[in-house]
Amino acid sequence: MSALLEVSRAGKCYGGVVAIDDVSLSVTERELLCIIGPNGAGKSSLLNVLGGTLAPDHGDIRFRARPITGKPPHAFARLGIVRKFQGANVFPSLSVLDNLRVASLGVAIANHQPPPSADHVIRTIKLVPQSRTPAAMISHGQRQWLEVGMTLMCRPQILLLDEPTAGMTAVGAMEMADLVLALAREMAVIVIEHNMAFVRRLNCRTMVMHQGRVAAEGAFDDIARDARVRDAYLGRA
Amino acid sequence: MLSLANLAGGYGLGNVIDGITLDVRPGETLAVLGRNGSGKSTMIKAIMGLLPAAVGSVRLDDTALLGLPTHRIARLGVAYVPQGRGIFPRLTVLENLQIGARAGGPRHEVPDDVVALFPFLRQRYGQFGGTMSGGEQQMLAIARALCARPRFLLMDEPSDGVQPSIVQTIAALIPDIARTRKLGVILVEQNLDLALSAAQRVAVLDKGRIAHECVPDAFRDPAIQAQFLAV
Amino acid sequence: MGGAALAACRLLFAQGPLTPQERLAVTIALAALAVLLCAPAVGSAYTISQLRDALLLALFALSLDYLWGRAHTLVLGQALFFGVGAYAMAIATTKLGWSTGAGIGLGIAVAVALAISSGYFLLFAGVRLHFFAILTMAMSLIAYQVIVSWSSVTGGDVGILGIPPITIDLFGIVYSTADETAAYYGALAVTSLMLLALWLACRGPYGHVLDAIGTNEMRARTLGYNTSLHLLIAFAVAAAIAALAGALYAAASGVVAPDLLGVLPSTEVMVWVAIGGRGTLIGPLLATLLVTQFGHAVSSYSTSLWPLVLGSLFVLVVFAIPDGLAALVRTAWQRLRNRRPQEAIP
Repeated sequence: MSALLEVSRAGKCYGGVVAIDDVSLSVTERELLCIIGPNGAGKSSLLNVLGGTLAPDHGDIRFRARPITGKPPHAFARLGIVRKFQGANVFPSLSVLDNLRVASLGVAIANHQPPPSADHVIRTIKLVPQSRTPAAMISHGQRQWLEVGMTLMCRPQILLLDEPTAGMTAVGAMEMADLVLALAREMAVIVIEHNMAFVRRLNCRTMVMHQGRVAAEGAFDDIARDARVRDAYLGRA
Repeated sequence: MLSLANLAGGYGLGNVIDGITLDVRPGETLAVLGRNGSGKSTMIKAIMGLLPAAVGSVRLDDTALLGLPTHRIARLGVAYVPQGRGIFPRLTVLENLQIGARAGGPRHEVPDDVVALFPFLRQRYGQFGGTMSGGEQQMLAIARALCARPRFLLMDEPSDGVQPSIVQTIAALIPDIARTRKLGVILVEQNLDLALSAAQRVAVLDKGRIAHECVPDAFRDPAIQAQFLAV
Repeated sequence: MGGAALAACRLLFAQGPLTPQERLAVTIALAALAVLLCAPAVGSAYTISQLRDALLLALFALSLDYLWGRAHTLVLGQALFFGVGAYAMAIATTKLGWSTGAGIGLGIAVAVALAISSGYFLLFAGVRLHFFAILTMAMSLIAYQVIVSWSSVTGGDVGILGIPPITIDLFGIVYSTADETAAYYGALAVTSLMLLALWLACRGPYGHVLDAIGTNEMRARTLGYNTSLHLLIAFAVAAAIAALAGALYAAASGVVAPDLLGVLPSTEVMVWVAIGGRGTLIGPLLATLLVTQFGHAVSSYSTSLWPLVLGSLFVLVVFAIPDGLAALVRTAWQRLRNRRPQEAIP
């Protein structure tokens, strides 16, 4: 199957510190990929490159075989590459509903499509009672759900999620896992997570990053048994 | 002893916390659990004087904290590791730690024993805080809080964005620091493994009130967890 | 293309029902309009001409409130566009022999061209916040110097005198601002209509989009918004409104001078917006009327006192009511409502 999104030999340095070092990666339609790895391994930088918010120093990115390296972030979103940032990145002064409405218009107007309705998404993210509450006043975990909801309003073809369960209860994290599994039936999803219960529930292709490189890749069970991964990252979990 | 009595408040649209009463003794770690939006972070903010409209009482031994400005509360020995870490991104690791040390008084030294808890920090002294990864910033934030030699430590989700092996390290570290330094800790945490292994006591918030208190082992019962944490 | 643009406008400018806060703002606006409509019946000719100027300055304040209060983009040199509008009107009518209508058109065109050409390079290069604000101030200083130096066209330090009043002949019905009362009602109509237009444009999704771009631009970009383009359009629209205000002001007073686009008017308009309450539109409009009238009262006592009083007022507002008079009114009204719980909506 041909790749939906493909990165080849991407590298990025921040003032001498290598964030990602010759990373290649590809995902196909409706594929679910999980990226794990120690803090500072370059996971978020890789997601930034995939989402267009960080231009790599070298290497290139292709979407449906078309080169898109160097395009601005809004162009990535309009192609259907939509991301959720680390640490609930929403519009604090707007209500939950207005956050979703704003999220629905950008891509829809640019692509001359009718915007999707927020009704279904707001139920999916369980924020109906808070729909009129400013996003600054809901809890961290609820803001995570809101931001995931906002990405869905862009009709993504590939969804990039950076630590979607941070700040969530154990139960909430499992609900998020179920949502991600459901979404992966309609679109490709790349998730960065530290919550191993969540990753285990996804039980999908898993990539381990370490010091800016891909250190291991495979099914989650195999990865979890890898002695090097246990030492450097998982501990006794 | 840090004592809360009938602590209530919010952000203007009704109360988020609605009458919380609890005590934390020196050397004790209390985990505060609860669903999203139950008021855990708000409670911590109220203790630190960061919630503009809070009523009730917060006392540190004989000193009333409620109504004092945040910097006074910090100087009285209450340190805060905020959600999202609050690292100063344009300062170096060492400068972040020095600022933490000064919060405890005019002593400008960064205590060696604190840095010894997180050995990687010493190698990174010259790096800007903002260029560290999320988990590294979390450890820096904990170290910075400890540099003030606080008597009480308030931690809001220290496991947020931290790799599993370091979460385990933190889980072992918290009760250890609490015991050896006679430090009282309030730990707001969603990661049950961390919370239950680090704490001696568990309080569960629901709709801004304490709904349940127990020892950590009692909270391992799935039925109890479902009762208080399921949505 | 046209259909798509229309569909986009229909989405961005969709109108919902009035919120309680909006109802309060509309009530205040209508009450103010009623008072202003009656003013010529009671006020002296001098007061009415002052109020006319104040209304045109309020139009100028609206341009900054749209940009600063709604799009979160502070401009320290907004008087540049006001001055360009005024000078274009003066030069077009006195030197080129154009009609006043063409003078207004020229002013708006030059201001928009300036805003787009400078804004394109600044905004698309990622210049934001105080960097952008300071650069616009530098632009206004350059323009001031050009106006002073290029005396063959601009009249130098003296400025230009003898700008004719605006005259419109619609099938025999003649409107002319030569008549003081007509000039006053004209200014009231233009400013009120602009308030209405900006308020309708910004109360729905478009206002939320501007707010989103202002508070978290990267998030807005990754949701598909070309944020630099949005800000450029806002900058150009604000320049056009300021130029319109400047052109009308020049025609009303008959003279232009370089101090129209100096540092003082750029600062004053910022103070009016801050005192009124950023982003509320009606707040800055009313604040302009009140502060300028207060300014006349103080200046009649001593002209050198006014900048001092204005500065102190600004400092006081920033400390005591950082969200301006609008926030004060809103809080007072909410207290009043809470005291009558039986009237609360279930």
